[in-house]
Amino acid sequence: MAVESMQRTSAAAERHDQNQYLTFMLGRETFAVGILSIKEILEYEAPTDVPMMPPFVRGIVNLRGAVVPVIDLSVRFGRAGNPTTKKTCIVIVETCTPEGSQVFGVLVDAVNEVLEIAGTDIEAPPNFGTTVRTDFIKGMGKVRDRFVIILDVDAALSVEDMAALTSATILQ
Amino acid sequence: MMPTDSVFVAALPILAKQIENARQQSEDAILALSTRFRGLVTRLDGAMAASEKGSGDGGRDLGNAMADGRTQLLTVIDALMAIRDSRAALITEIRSLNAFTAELADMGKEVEMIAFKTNMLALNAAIEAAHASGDVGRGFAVVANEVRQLSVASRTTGKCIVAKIEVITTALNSIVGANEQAVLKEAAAVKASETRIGNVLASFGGMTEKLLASAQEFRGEGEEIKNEVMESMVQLQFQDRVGQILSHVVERIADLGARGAASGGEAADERDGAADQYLADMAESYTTEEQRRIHLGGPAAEVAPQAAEFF
Repeated sequence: MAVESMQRTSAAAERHDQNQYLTFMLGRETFAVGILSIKEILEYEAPTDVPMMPPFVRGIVNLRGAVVPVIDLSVRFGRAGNPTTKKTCIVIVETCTPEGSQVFGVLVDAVNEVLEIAGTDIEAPPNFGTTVRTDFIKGMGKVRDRFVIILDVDAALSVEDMAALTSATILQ
Repeated sequence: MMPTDSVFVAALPILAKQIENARQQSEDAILALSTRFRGLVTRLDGAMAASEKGSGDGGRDLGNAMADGRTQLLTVIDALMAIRDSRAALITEIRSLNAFTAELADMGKEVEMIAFKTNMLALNAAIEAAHASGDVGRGFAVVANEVRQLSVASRTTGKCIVAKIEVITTALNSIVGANEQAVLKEAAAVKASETRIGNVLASFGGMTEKLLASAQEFRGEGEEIKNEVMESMVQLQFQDRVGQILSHVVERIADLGARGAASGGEAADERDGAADQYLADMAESYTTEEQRRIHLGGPAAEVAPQAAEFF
């Protein structure tokens, strides 16, 4: 009985973790990323510039000895980059693709909170009307009667995709 | 035809009476005139004495009042200046407060900054908790959430502090501004008051001097008039001499008449013709009623002074 209860609790906890998201601001829109994809949040400090990088790569940061590229999500989404403020943060994200895992720093205008969005509160992404490519969107989460865009970081930060974009940029 | 003794005898007493009457009248008139002149002199003396006393004391009183007024008005100006000075002191105090509010605003911002960092810490803790498995992770998540709540609370407080300080700063600035305006206006008012008080005192001073001068002039004129009147009174003493001379003439004429009457007793019968004729001529030539009355032997008195008839 007690063991069963423990197991159930543990399973619930697993699901509980799965449903946790970090919300952050990009421009005037609120985005969310599953918390298990996130390693940590850093206060903003200017990344080291690297030449010959596409515009959405702002440079690299040293994360405890590891070199981590910093992606400007706004630029990645085809918008103008926002100026940095004292609220600007770098969110360290780990993507998991068949090619292996990759760590990125993501530049966001501000981080909001860690919250839980139940699976029932997540709608399918709309086919039109969003300002972000639909294949980057995992779903629309309902939070306090408003929708946040739940990002598919694996897609948004797909190395292949970005590499293609980079070579296209270089070719230009 | 030469007048006879009888004519003299009849006419002389009448002439003597006429002269005596004239003498008496002029003596009376001159006496009355002298009395009036004396009265005039006395009254002039009184008036001048009053003026002397009035303008002397009054001038002194006025001077004292002016000095007193000047002192009191200057006290008012001093009070105004004191108010202005205390206002300036107030401004200085408020300015020093401004420095504190600036510091407080910085502190409020620091609180916000600390809240921001705490929030970051809480979020990182939440992420760590999510990665940790099982009960450890859950407990950690609870702590992380509590820390986050604290950070939210402190950020709200920090924002409140900053907002309130902004309100205070605005209020203080407007107070300082209003006060500075007031100080400028007061300075202008004090200056204007000083000028006006000066003008008023100066014009009062001028008026006082004019008053004193005119009183002085009046006294001078009065003195001269008094002297003139007194000299006139001296000159009126001619009446005494003229009176004596006329009295003597009247006496002599009466004597002549008496002598004529004594020596011409026997010629009394001749009197009727020539004397009556002469007396009639005399009576004819009189111009006043009293002459006629005296001629007929009546009293000269009770002559009502006729209303002056100017030809």
